[in-house]
Amino acid sequence: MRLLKKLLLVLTPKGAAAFLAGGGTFGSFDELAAAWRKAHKQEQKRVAAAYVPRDHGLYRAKKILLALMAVGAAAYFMGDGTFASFSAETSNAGSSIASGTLTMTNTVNGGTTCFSYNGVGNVNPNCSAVLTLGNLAPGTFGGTTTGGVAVSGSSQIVVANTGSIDAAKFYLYAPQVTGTASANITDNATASATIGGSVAVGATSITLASGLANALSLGTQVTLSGTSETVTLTADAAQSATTLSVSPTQFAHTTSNTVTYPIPFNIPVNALQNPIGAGQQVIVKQSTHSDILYDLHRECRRCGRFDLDDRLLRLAHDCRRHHRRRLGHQRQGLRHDGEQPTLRHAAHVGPGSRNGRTDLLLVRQRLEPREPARHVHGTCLDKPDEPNHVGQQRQHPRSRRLERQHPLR
Amino acid sequence: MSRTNLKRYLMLLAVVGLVAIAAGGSGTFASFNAQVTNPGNTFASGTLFLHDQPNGGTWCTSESDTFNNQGSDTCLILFPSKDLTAGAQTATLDLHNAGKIDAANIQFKVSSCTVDKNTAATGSTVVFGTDPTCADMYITVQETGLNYDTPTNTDVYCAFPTLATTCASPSSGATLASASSFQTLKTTGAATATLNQNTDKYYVITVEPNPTLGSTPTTNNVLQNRIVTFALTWQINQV
Repeated sequence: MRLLKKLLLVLTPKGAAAFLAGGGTFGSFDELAAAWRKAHKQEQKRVAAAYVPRDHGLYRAKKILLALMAVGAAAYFMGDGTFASFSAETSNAGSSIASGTLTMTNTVNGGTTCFSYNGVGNVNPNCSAVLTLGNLAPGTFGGTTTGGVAVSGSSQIVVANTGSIDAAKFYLYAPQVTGTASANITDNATASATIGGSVAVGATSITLASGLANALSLGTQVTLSGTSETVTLTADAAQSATTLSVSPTQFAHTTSNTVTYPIPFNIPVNALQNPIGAGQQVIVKQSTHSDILYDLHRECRRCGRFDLDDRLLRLAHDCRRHHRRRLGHQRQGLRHDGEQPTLRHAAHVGPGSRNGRTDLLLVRQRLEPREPARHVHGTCLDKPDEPNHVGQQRQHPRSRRLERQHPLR
Repeated sequence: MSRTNLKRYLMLLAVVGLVAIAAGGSGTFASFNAQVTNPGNTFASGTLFLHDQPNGGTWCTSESDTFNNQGSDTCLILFPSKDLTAGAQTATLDLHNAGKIDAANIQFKVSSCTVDKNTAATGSTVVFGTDPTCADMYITVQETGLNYDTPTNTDVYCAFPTLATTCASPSSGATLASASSFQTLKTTGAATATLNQNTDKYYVITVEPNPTLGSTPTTNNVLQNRIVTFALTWQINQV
């Protein structure tokens, strides 16, 4: 009976646990019962240790997990049934859009290098000066360098493209040039032209009998003889123009009056500072005309016979008579002269010449299209030299309008 | 083991055998049953693969990647070293659904966009003016025909950003900065662009710097010595 009770005890869960915990061997039923009681106490301790109060964090976590489980269950039974969603993706990385650099430097005479990017917006206006020249005169230029360094009159500039892009264009320009004219170049010379028609009070246009010797610009002031009235040009006037647009005149003017206008430059023939080449145009001062006339006049007075190759003077045989005619025709020629004399040769008469002057031999361009150029060839044949009367000849009233047209020898 | 213990074990086994007979044995040992079987049940899925071909070059395949998201290193560059000063720059792109599932939409985004000095190429660190940003880089995506043209009589559309047949000039409305998250491409009728299996979509992507940058003599060098880098990611989705 005790054996049967022992077997029944072993068949209970706790009895089986006690039986296995004891290694399946126990000497008596009491021993098995003791093992059962021990296992029962240990179970009570484990349950007591697992007790979690309601305000403990684990308790809240437990509630959250239960809630999530409920949500998941609801989603499972209420959803569409498809939870997998496919996607495919490709990526093109490394795209780039880039630019290069376009910077430049310049170095003047091996000095400090000037960088464009040191200026605002890649524009540096503060580089070294290229030329600093003083005491220059027209026609002079010192363009020598020593070891790459300018001695005078020139500079060496090294321009470099320091960027990564080739420059398609390279410009060189001078933003501004300032200069001051010397007083011995500009002397406020003037020229005059006779009025070609009467001018009424308030007129805004003046007609000239001959064309302007030089162009005049808007705003230029011209003076009308007689009343010395000054009017201002209201429009540019080209060289050889015979009409002037002016501010309204205050006085009336007749054809006996002249218009005096400025000549931009006047090079004194007796004070040439540099060679003048053939073909260059000069303005001939009145005094020079007188000097040349004096030579011609004197030679004529010396000549017993004067060969002239001038169709207007071809019939003249007497020097004196010829001279009178010639003077008259030359005056006519000068009045028709609308062009500037052209310098053909420049020569010095030489020591011992009258007045010791420096002379220019001028050949005026054709006075009129229909009139052939006049050539005067003078040969003294039968009369001895006469004393010079320079002062007397210069006072000749008609000499101021004449000009010599042949190189004197 | 002692004889006593051996005896106990034998007794225990005998008791267990008796109990088993008493509990399980009902006295009848003949048993009938019936059974049917439905074999061949399967759960399967299709494929959704995206291939892209930039500028007619090598195809890039999404399935080459472990997670079907092709990494950035193996796809060709869409804009390989374009000139920043030459105005609008374009690239062509062929998107092909190589899978067996139709894609419900096509999306793209710009990532990793930066504007830096182009020192690596120019050797210079000199830049001028205020630094431009990715917001100064405008972008459009134009759906085109097979030859990357925009025929007027076919179903092409400005896919991004404007709702028109032909994209307007790139403007500040869509920039590399504003497209940093996925943008859904559009197609004819302003509908969401789809990409069915084994079909292609052709796009011309245009990127242009803000035209006002460097438009004045004092700011014309702002774009000098700059480099804009970015990535374009294309995605198709089943739903």
